[in-house]
Amino acid sequence: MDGVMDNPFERFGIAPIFDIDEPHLAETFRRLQRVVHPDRHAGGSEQERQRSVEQAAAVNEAFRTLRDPVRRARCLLALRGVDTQEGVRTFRDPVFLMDQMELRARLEEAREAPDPLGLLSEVKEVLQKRRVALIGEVSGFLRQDTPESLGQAAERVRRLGFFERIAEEANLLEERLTDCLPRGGMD
Amino acid sequence: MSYSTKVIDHYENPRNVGSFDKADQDVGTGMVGAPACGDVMKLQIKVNAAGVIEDARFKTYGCGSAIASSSLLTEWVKGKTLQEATEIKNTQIAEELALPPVKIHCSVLAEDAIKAAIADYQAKKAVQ
Repeated sequence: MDGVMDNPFERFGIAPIFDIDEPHLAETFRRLQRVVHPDRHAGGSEQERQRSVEQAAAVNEAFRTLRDPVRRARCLLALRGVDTQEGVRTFRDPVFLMDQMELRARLEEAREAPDPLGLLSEVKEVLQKRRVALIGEVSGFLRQDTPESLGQAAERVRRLGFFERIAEEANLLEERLTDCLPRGGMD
Repeated sequence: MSYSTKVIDHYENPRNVGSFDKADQDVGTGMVGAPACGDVMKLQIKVNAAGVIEDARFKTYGCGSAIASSSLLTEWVKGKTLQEATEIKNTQIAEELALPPVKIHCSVLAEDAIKAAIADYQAKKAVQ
């Protein structure tokens, strides 16, 4: 990440920590949105309008980063000079990867199962538990704020990348299953 | 982005899908993943007494390019010595499958997988 990165914490006027006050975040978002909304600057000069569109986009982008724990962690790590290297580093923990394979296999099984939605919701529950646990670890490591712990936080963010992907797959499958079910056919 | 005919062929008719017994002393297992796209790849080799790869299996959860890269690699490593298999480069896989730049990382993953499988096999032999 380069030095001119927009710092979303600064934009929202909140402390750069992982465990943020979510209701306060949402409230700040609504307030900032009102301030920069292009409609408020409709009467202004071309330059003012252009600037308000840019500001509104920046506020949205900052909110997207701050509200999502994985993006927020990635951002905090970047602010501390730690690159999560998700795009360049091959992940090799065999125990974690085997678990991922099993979860993916269970999703595939759900496709063919007699009760696909039941199996799917079981898998989603497991995914959610693992994700919450990882986010808890990220929070702890970021709070310790040592070079060692930040490295661990980055490692957990890389793990969370796999969960983001598998959650997408699960949601796709769920959409497909609920679309295909005959109406009133399930009780 | 469109897939090359070779990628589609491997995707639709993947070679050597499946697995060997991980605990088998003649089997090396490589597990790798790419956090950015969530792809997970398992590549296994069965090595004979002469140090030649007799057979290979793979299981990949990922995009067409990741599946094709690992499928192709299982074909390539069969009959090769461990040393020869180590020398396979991701660029050869990418070239054979005509992978676009955004999919090069899939071939990197496959190269890392075979290297991990060989390392696993050699680690098993070292403790024997």
